Amino acid sequence: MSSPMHRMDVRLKMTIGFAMSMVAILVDSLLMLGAGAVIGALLFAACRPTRGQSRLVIFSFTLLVWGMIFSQALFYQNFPRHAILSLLPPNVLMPEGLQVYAEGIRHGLVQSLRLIMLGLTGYAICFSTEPGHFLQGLLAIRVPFGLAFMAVTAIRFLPIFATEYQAVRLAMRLKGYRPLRRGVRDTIRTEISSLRPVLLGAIRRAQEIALSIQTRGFVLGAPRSSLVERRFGAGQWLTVMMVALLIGALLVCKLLFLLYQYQLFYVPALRPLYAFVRAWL
Amino acid sequence: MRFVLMMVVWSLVAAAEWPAIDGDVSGAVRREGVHDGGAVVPQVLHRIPLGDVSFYARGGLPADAFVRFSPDGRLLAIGTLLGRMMMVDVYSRKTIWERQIAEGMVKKIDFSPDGRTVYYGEQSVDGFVFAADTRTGETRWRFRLADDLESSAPPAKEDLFGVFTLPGVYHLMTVENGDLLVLGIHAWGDFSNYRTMRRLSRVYRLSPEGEVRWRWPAAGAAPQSLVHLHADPAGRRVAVLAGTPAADAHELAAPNGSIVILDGATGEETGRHAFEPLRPFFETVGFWQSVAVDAKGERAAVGLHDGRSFLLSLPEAKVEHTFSFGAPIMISGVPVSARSTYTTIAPDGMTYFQTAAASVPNADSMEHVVRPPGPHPNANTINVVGPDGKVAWRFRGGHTYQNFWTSADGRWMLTCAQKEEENLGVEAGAMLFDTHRPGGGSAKLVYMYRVEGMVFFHADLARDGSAVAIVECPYVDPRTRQLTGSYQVHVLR
Repeated sequence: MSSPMHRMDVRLKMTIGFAMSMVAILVDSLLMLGAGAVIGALLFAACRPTRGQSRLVIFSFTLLVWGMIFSQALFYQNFPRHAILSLLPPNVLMPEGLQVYAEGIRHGLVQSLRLIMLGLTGYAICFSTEPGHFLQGLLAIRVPFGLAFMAVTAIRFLPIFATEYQAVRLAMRLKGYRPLRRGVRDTIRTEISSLRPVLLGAIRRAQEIALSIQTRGFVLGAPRSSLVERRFGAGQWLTVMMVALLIGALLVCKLLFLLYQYQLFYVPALRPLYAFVRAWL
Repeated sequence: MRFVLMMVVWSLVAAAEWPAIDGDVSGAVRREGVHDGGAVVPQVLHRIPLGDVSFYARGGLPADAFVRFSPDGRLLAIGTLLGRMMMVDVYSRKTIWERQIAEGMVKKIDFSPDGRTVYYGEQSVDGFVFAADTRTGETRWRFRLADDLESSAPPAKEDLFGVFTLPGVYHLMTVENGDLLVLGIHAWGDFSNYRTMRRLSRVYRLSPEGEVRWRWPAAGAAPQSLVHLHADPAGRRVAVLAGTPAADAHELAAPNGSIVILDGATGEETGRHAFEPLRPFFETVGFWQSVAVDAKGERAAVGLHDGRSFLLSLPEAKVEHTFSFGAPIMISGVPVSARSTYTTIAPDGMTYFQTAAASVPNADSMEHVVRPPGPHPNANTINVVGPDGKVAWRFRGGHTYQNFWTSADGRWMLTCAQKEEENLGVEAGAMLFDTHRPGGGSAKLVYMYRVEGMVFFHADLARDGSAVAIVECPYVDPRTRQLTGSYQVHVLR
């Protein structure tokens, strides 16, 4: 498949992914997180997902957002808060009743946007990148080969695990297993037992892969070549520099604000910057 | 001699014609020469929106703003909780300049006597006093209170009341020679347990160039809250109310519950008077912003939390007259009092006192009775006392009144008024009185201008009485749970 995200260099994708995760950590404001979620959505759209992929993402995020907002709206404990809807009036068991708090909805939305932003970016990168490309990307940014190889191999294992776990579940179902039919304790015991064949399968597969790469003459520290030489163009360098500059500025602003907040370093001339961080970040 | 000159200047200001109002003007609008007999309606000149304070209003914090007319009444300076500082032309309705105070709120404003400089004080980590050009807003100098009063950690994002733990300019007034009197207060710690709080306060007299002429206490900031100060227009005598000590206070500048009189020229203490607590109902003496000095600097008016009000001779530091307007009375065996809140002495020598709603002394510490069984007969009343110390007139209209502003000739008097009833909600606004009209308080009431939201204790009256500015702030109506009113300033004739 050829989409803008598929064509993008994996190193650039990794830079974007890292930048988005930094933004998710550094930013608290609804507006900025909303903007981050929009960027995440654009990246996801740019990888031209299949209908099945889109369905999966929409379904999982709908459940996540709904659950997070609803739970925060009902159980928001900070002040100030004000109820916009009363589901249950105050009673003996619940002295405050059951209220939907506006501030709780906002808080839930902030948390949801943080996850949406990261999730959509992650999906966009995963759906548009082959594991082999990941390896090239990691090597290009000077990650030690052994570490990069293990990480990529681990990623390759994930769909295999999923398939094996599905097979185990199917077998259990065919043998008549139904969750909670024989009580909670029995269900927990059976569920833990169901992981055993998956783990054993993983160990067996790891041994097979180790044997396989050794038979192909694999030496960890040896120099290696690649058929595909990926060049990092000037435009891509510029994009990386801009993203790095933005994240660096964000980090410095936030750091200065934290130093100010904890009374460690304060310069009166920086008050507009502190106000900016408080209002927008 | 200086006083006579001052009165001449005032009378000239008062004699100057009121500015004309552009546009559609009601025939019953208040005019310069209007006297009793005709109906007078408030003419709205301008409504100035001040920003979004719904976060504060929903949290129960009345988002107040400070307003101040320039000496000629043509400009209005506005400072807000959100840190906006604006200069507005009252009659052209244009904003001349606007500044944003980052990480702080604008607390107090005043103009130099010639109107060329506007001074404004903030509450922030620094607690700066700024001097700015009235026409351009360009800052000429600034003075940092936190150097004396220390600073506190900036509040967290969601902390509604955090800004009040920072050092701030709690009073700021210019005197005739252009000097500036500043009261800086910093109170921080656990507000729910005021006995554990730390406090530092200090009074400053600054020159028009921002140099410190004197500080009081001279040795260092007072480890207590100096609640309020006031001085005569020439700045000859400064009266300071000394309040609650800090938890770590060893030696106070003045005992809690006393008034200190300072020589305006040197900042040296010339006298003090400690008010006796009204036992057995009150163990201590408390004040709000309830001190005013008359035009000659000879007399001060003071109101106490226990409901008593006083007129004191400043040269002798002695009580001349005592008024028990809101002092406790027994109703069904329960003591009920009404706090004496704001006071002012108008240039014509009339002294205005206010009493708040009825309350039970020390109700917080009681187990059962927290509400008065009946109203105090003098609660929510404006009492006006003549120069002879006798009550000249009173006014009571069912509202709670907050603060006074009088015109330079003493004729016009403005007060904020608010009434809250469980079924009817809030009725809030401002009342304007023509105090030179014959008759009692009701006969002197010119109008009440109502706002949709609520009012606090900030408004202003132009020196010549020609315009009124009222701050409206939104609140959550408990009946509908909806935000009611707007954060705006109403400017009226």
